[in-house]
Amino acid sequence: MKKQRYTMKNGIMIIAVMFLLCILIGVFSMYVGKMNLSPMEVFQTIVGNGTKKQNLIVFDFRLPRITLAILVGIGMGVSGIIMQSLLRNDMASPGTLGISSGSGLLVLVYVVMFSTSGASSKYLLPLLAFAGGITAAILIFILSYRRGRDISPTSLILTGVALGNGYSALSLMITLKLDKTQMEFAQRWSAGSLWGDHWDYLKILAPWTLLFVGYAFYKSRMINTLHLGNQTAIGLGLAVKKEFTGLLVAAIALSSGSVALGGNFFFVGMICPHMSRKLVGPNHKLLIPASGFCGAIVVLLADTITRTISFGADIPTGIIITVLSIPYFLYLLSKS
Amino acid sequence: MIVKRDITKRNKKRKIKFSLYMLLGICFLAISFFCSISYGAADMNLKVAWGAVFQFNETIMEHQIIRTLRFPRTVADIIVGSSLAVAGAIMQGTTRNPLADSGLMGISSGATFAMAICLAFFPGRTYGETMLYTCLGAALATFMTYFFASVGKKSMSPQKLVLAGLSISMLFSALTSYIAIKYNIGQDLTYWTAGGTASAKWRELAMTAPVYLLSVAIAVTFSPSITVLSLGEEVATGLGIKTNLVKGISTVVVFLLTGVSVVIVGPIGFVGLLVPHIMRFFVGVDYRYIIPSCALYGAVFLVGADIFGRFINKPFETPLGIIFAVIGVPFFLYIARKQRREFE
Repeated sequence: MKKQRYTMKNGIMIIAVMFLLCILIGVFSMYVGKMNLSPMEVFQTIVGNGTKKQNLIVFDFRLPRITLAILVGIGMGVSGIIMQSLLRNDMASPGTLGISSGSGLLVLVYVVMFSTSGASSKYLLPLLAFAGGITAAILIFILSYRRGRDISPTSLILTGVALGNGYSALSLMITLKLDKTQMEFAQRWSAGSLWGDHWDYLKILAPWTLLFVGYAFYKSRMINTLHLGNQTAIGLGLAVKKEFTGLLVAAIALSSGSVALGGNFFFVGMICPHMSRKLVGPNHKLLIPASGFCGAIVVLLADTITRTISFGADIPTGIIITVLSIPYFLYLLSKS
Repeated sequence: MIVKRDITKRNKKRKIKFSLYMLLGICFLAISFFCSISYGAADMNLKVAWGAVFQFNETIMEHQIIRTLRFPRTVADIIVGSSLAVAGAIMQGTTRNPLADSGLMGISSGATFAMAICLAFFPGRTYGETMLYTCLGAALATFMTYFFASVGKKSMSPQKLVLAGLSISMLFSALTSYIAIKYNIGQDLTYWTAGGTASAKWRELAMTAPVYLLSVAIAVTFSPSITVLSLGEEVATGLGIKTNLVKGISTVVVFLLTGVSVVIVGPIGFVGLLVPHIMRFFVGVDYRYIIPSCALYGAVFLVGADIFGRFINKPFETPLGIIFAVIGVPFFLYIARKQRREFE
């Protein structure tokens, strides 16, 4: 009976449950925070009968933040699953591949060169973070490329670790020149604080994420084939190089977008693919949406926790995710 | 008999080669030592430096600078460089892992975490207490890294160790940034993390020097056993080495050496990776030679890097950690690549 475990029907059911859960947490997340609003008040505000203060809280603070958390989670989850499947390595993620440290460096450069709250900054910062992520990814691929061979996952990860170290040294050099406010921003950003919770940013991130997730979902059959190994995929008549590159660019684009507005959330990109693989099995048609929702749930949940339980200071969401998910990662490591 | 004579002859040859390298290293160290105390924000010539060391005169300002600032700084460089290099060599030998380094194993992040706790909760701590806590932090992180790399069905592979080190580092740095944000000590911590010996004082050096000397002495005493252990655990057991004892002692030595250097300069990565590999290239794979030469050349490297850091962006100083990362990353990539070639 074991063969029956991962059927399409079951998978769709699980994804539907995840979707509902996501909405449920999102709704719950609307009520909690520094200012407590009762469910009735929130409902009234959404319908349009709120006071000015309630409008402000719901539409300008909570709703954008929740949307951001969901988008970042989806982006990270989907980019994680693409990377892990393409490289056929469980440890691959935007973080271990050094992409987030690349974005981090350019964000720091930005913080030093421009102020954190300028009008021009709205589009520049996400763009720079994206550029940083892409550069890091290209560098890693060039460095681990060897003529006439497949890129081995281990070499990719080791190169990623090394480059991550180099990037953080450079970041450190820049950090030394920061003043107190810049320092605080940089620190929070790198810990993953979901800072870009403003509609202006979301207007860019939402189509961006949807576009690439859509692309990945559309190509999910290709991923299924690529997952079998490059040789097999070639044998099955797939234009491996083209599909591989396209999907990888999509993965990098997704993670860079999330990193730019959310901060370092790469643990989501490592953990969620595993969890969803356990839930829905190896078919990427189910895996990609499952991993995306899983990411959204994790980030949203962590964010709700940070906003509900006060840890004495406003603690970035990323820290909670990291601390909670490292044990799982270590468990995976010991099993692999 | 002929074979045996051949081996003794080769051993002798190697010994002579080793002594030559050591002699050369001492010369290098002496040169860099005098360079380090004479060059800096205020330049002095070698003669003044010489005078400050051997005919100290309190009324001369230069002599004062050298005695209170540059001299302790250089001594700190020496201690840190050679401790990190020896710690790296021991780790590479006992784990048979060419990628072992105190920074990559999460040790530095553990020590940084301990330092963050010290800065946040014990403002009135003494120097000895700081040292104790950072050593404990380093020990905790190493223990966790080794533990998680060794549990599981397969044995501990270098890649697994690096990944375990990575995740432990991430865990500790997440906790560190929590403390840093909550208690607003981010900037202090960053200055400490950047790694600089400029603030080294005699009193601190006097406390760390005995620990350093003792650990290096133990390391040298145990170097023959480490050589045997580097051949593989089964071989070592077969040759009558108490592997657990040697491993335990070398781990303690690694903690002590890393703790000492972390408390003086903060975490510097890659020294422990670079120096042993370079030394292995010159003196061979025998840890009886590698460990002493690492102690010597590690010091030379760090003093050199420190002088370099003072010059490259004058009058600002470039932190040691950054210099070593810039050299170390390409080197790490090279080794990772070479090692794969051997496995494939």
